[in-house]
This record gives sequence, structure tokens and C-alpha cells, in this order.
Amino acid sequence: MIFDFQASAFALGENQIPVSTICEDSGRDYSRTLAKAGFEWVYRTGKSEVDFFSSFLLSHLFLNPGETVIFVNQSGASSIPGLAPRVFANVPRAEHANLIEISDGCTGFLRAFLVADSLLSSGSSKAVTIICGEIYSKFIDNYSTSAPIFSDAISQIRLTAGRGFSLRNYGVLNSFQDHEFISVAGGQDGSTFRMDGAKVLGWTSRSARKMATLLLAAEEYDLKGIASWFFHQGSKVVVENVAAALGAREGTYFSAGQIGNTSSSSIPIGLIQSQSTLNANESIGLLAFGVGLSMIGLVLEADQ
Amino acid sequence: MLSGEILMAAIADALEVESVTMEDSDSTVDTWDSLGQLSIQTKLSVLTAGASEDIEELAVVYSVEHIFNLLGEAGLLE
Repeated sequence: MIFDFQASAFALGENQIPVSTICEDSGRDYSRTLAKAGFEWVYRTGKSEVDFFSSFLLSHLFLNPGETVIFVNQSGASSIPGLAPRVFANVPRAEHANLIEISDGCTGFLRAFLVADSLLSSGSSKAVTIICGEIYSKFIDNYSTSAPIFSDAISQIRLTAGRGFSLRNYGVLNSFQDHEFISVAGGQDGSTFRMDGAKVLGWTSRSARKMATLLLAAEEYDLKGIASWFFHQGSKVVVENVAAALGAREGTYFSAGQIGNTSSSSIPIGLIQSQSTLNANESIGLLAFGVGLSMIGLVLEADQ
Repeated sequence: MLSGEILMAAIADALEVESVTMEDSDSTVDTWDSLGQLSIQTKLSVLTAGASEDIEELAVVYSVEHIFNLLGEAGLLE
């Protein structure tokens, strides 16, 4: 498959908010918050999911007949029909799109990626566009422990069939009995986002070690040989800990200090920002973790 | 081997609080968050010369009592 970065893009919420202000307003220690989460800015939108996502898609999504669109979202998934029909209602040529909607959070892009790989590999689709969009801010006020972390965002990555990267291996780890560690109490708007930092760190740390075993299980290669890793940008301390537990080579893996945790969009944004340095001759690793609890890791090998 | 007193002080130091009790956990100490959890793991590793890193379950315990139990079972606590 090939990353078509010309048809890939992302947008953040229109309101840029300094995390220092959030900390000041809520009596939180900014230095400690920065050392922990690593985010200096978060972005929030005042728009609804339909308005925020639709305006982005009208500007960026060009649908060709026979192509597939995978839409990943959780924050607006509480109605019949799902969110996708309302978001795509005014997108040109959507009437012929094979539109798949996935309800997932931080691991959503990689879950969609695995579906896209199958569609492209089988020839069922010549191109797949993965749209990830979340507005978590509606569940968060400045006193929430998640306030200095999450940004609203939407992203679009287009993948096409061809020689570029091939999926070499992947692993999935679920711990559904721990789903309350990252959850919205009560279910929908007006409820509070809960994220239990210590337990999330403990779970991701242990899971990353298991993931390393899964990714290596069928192959004889060293994870340190993977040139680039793209981690879900959950928080600075979690990303750094996961990278170490996984056995990734020494490097700087937390890169979203100016963006915030954009949930399912964090890996797409990382890929888009790194497109000029992605070497088609080198393997890359992608790893996401979060709501579920779930962790998905995959290794892409450059086609020779 | 660690004494209980040193372990208690190390956990408190990692959590940036004056003291902790056997009843404390991530539910009772505000700073027992992701950073606090990582600080505890790091402290324990230093105090045990890396031996605590072999206790896999130590990564997913969130109470003082549970930490004492695991280190005790591993023979690292007096």
C-alpha cells in the first residue's frame, strides 16, 4: 500500500488554549502537569461533530467511485443512524461511497488500517480513506484531570494499492474488564470523562512488553531495527514508558506537545507531519492504546 | 533487603507527599497518577538494584499494601 499524503490532512479545534491557563484556573501545578502529560496547548471546538467534521470533509475529501471510506468516531456515536450519515450528508459523491463506520477511540486508526489493508490486498478497493474524528472536549471541563490532555481533531489518511509498504505483522491486546479506566461516566453529553492515570500507565507498560512478544512471535527480527515508530500520543510519560517497555530503539517519541492528545487522530497527524522523512526503504512501527482497554501494534515493511 | 520504613519513605518521596500509610492508594493520594506510578517503579528499581523489575505484577499495583505484599513475596523486604 501507498500513503497518499497529497490527499491526507488534519484539522484541530478552532480554539487554541494554553495548558498553563487551564492549570491556573483549576489550581493545578503546571510544571508537574507538563512533566506528566507534556502538552503545552490543547485545541477545542465550539461546533458540533456534524458541523466540525462536515466542514473539514467538504474541504479535503474527494470521493472517487468504488473507493472505501472508513469513519472512526466515538464522541458522537449515540444515535440511530450512526454519526456517519449525518456527517457525510453533504459530501459530494458520498452516495456511491462504501462507507464503514467504526466506533473506537485511540486505537481506531489502527483498527481501520487493518481493515484497509485487507481491502487493498484483496483488490476489493483501489483506495481507502480513513477519517478519524473526535470531540472529547464536550465531556471535559477545566477541573477534569483530562483537561490538560485532549484536543478536538479530525484527520484523513488516504491509502492506495501499490508498492510502498506491506503489513508484516500485527498484534491486538484487549483488557475489556478494565474499560472503566478510560470512560465517560453515564454515557453521553454532560457526563464526565474519566481517565485513571496510574492504572493506564500500569496497563500500557505491561501490555507493551506483551506486544513486543506478539510482534516478534512469527518473525526473526529486532524491534530496534525498525527505523520509525509512531505511537499514539496519549501523554509524554506514557509514550516514553511504552516505547521503553516495547524495546524500541532510543529516540524521541513524544511529539504532540503543541497539539494535544487527539485520540484516534494522533498517529495520522504524526504520519502527516513526518511524511517528508518517511523513508520508503525502511520499516515503520505503529502502536496505539487506550479506550477499551485496547492496544494494537503493527509493523509495516517497505516493499523492495 | 529493604526495611518497611525505608519502603514507606520511598513511596512517599516518589509521590511527593510527606508520608503514606498502609491504607493509601491511587484513590487516596492525588499525586498517585501516571507520573507518581512511574516514580514509584523507578524508586523501587533503584532501591532493589533492579530486582523489582523482575516482578511483572508490580507495574499494575496501586496501593501501598499491595506493593509491600509483592516485595515481601519476592524476598526483597525485611
